[in-house]
Order: sequence, then structure tokens, then C-alpha cells
Amino acid sequence: MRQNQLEKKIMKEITEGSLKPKPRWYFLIPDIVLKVFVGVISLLGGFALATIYFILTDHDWDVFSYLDHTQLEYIIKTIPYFWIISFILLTTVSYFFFRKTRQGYRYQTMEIAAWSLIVSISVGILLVGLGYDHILHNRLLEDVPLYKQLVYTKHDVWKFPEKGLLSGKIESVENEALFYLRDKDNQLWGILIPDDITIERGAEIVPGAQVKLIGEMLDKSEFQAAIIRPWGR
Amino acid sequence: MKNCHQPNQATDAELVRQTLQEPAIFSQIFNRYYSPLTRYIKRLGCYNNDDVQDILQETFISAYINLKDYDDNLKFSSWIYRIAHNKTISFFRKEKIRPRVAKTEGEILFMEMVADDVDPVSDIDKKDLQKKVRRALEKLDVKYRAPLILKFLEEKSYSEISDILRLPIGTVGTLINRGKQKFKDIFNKNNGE
Repeated sequence: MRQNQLEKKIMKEITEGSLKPKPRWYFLIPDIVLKVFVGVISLLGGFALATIYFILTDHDWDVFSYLDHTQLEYIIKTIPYFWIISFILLTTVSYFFFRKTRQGYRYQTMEIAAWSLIVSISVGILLVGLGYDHILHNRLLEDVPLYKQLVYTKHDVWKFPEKGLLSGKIESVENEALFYLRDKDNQLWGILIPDDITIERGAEIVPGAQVKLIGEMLDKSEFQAAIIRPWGR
Repeated sequence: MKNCHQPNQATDAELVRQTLQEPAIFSQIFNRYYSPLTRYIKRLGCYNNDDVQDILQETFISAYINLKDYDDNLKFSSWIYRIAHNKTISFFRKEKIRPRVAKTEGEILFMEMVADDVDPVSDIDKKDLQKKVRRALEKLDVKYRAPLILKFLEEKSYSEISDILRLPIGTVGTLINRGKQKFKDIFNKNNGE
């Protein structure tokens, strides 16, 4: 009895045309948008991983003593917390959005986390392999002033001439014993080159080259170099 | 006159396709699922017949409106059970009522299947047992009760339960095991063991 009544009621609404099935795209588009979003976030996760790799490998791990740090203090200071937290957040967000996709409920948390990691690590390795691991980091350093405060970079290390660490761009080369270098604060330095100087692989003493110097500050605008390293990317 | 299609032999997926061409075919889906869904909604704890009819109406209308969302990679029964499940849970939330447990013979079956280390009919009176099982089930969170009902009373596979509740198969297994244990604990506690 109840079944017949309910059937009549529902079928009346359906056959009289007041109810219509929603179009297929109504269901597919949100799902596609979610999947694209998950893809983009995983890609960003890859960028975060590549940047972590870049920051860690871009540091000179032997200069901690010039900065009056122990090795452990230097390591703790150098860890790119901002990118590690960003990576964890991106992975978490990607997990939650993946769960919302049509098939997302079928996978265990660990499965999704593992896949998300695999995608991010693969993208990260690809970026490192192609030499694009520094792109995001350097772009942010140039364009976002706040970013400089969030990461401890080589810029924060090679700016203490009084402690023996100096960096900048070679402005001109006078002779084999002297060149001029402009640092990040736009100060011009005369760099003295002794006979026993160590010039590391990749470093060039030519105008326009960016270099890092380990040595001794002689006065406010003169620095004697003992080791010259390339600045890197 | 001979009918061109034999409705009762058509698969669910065929009925869905036919409904999208001819809406009147939906009555066959309705009649196929009216009784199983009524039973499932009651087992979830909705005991008032008018409320059950309201939930069924919402379920079938929602199924019709969302018919193009049905993905034939999963069973149609899982899809429509999912809608009924969600409508029932929404009803409990909206009405702020605590799900009750229907007084059915299924309770005994449930007891035997879930609490397999308890001998239900040898020591205790059947009516008394029904009351105790019901009391224990009422105390069991719907999170555990739904997978137990689907597994032991609706006889659904883990994969179907996964599709109905939108949970990973592993989680379904965990909920069933924990639910069984919790049910036993509540039952034994209620009976002073």
C-alpha cells in the first residue's frame, strides 16, 4: 500500500517533467577540477622538495667555524624549515582533495601518502636533473622581501668580511694580485690575491663573475683572499 | 501483445540506461529497491514508518536526479544504498534523534554472527535475548553499526561496503572487527559479565 502510494507520487513528479536528471558534466567537472588541483599541488610539492635539495647543497658546510657556530648549530640554522613545512602542508592538502575525488575513498591513507610522495619526489628529481631546482628560490629571493627572513641562505653567510667571509661580483681586474669586487650592499672592495691563493673549481677571476671569498679583512675596503669559490647558481 | 523488454530480467545498469531514455522505466528501479532499502533504513535505526517513507522518497528522487552520476564500474545497488545511507544519517542529524534498533528476528541472526563466542539460544530466553541485543546495538555508534549491518544482515561484500560507505576496504575490515568487539563488550557489560 505504502509502496504503491510512494511509487505513484515519485513517478508523477518524474513523468510530469518537474524532475530531470542533472547532466553528466555537472558531476564530471568538479571531479576533473579536483584532480587537476591535486596534480598542481603535487607539482608544487616537487618544487618544494627540489628547493630543499638546492638550499641544502648550496650551503658551504665547512664555514661554520668562521661564524662562531658549532657544526650542529650551523646545521640547525641551515635547515629550510619554511620549505619543509610547505611540503608537509602541500602533501596534506593534496591528500584531502584526493580523498574528495570520485575514487579517492578507495585508497588507504598510507597509499595516498605514498603516491603523493612518489609524484613529488619524481618531480623534484626531474627539476634537480634539469637544473631548475634553484628557480623558485632565487625568484622569491629577488621578488618577495619577506621570503629572505624565512630562509637562511648563503647570502646570510657570505656577508661577514670581519669574520673572513665575503662575496660579490667582480667589477674589474687590475692585475694578477688585485681585483675589485662589489658586495650585495653595493660596497666596493679591493681584493688582494697572494701567491699561495686557492682558486676552487668553477671560480673565475674575470669581470662580472660572482665569487665567494674566505680570507682576512685588512681595512674597511680591503680584503686579502685565501680561498676563492664560485658563487654558484 | 508481446512486451519488447522483460523488465525483471534487465540488469540494474540496463534499467539506468533505459530510464535515461524513458523516465517511466524508473518505476522498475523503484520496485526493485523499495523493500531492500526500507529494510536497510530500519536496520540503521529509523523506526517510524512515516520517517522511513520520507527518507525513501528523498532517496529515490535523489537517485533519479543524480542518475547520470552513476558510474557503472561499481554496482548500482552500492550506489543507491549509499544514497539511502547518507539520507538516513542526514535525517538523524537533522532531527537530532538517536537511532533506534528495529525489533526483528534479524537481531538474533546478528547476535549469532557478530558475537560468535556467545551462545544465544541455549541459556537465555529468546525474547529476553532480543531485548539485550537491541540494547547493545542501540549503544553501538552508527559508525560501527552500519558496516556490521551491511556485512551480516545485508550480506554485502567488503568491496560493496567500501562503495556504500565511501571508505577504503581496509578501513571497512577494521570497523567490522572493532564493531564486533565493541558489541560484545557492551553486550557482556549489560549482562554483568
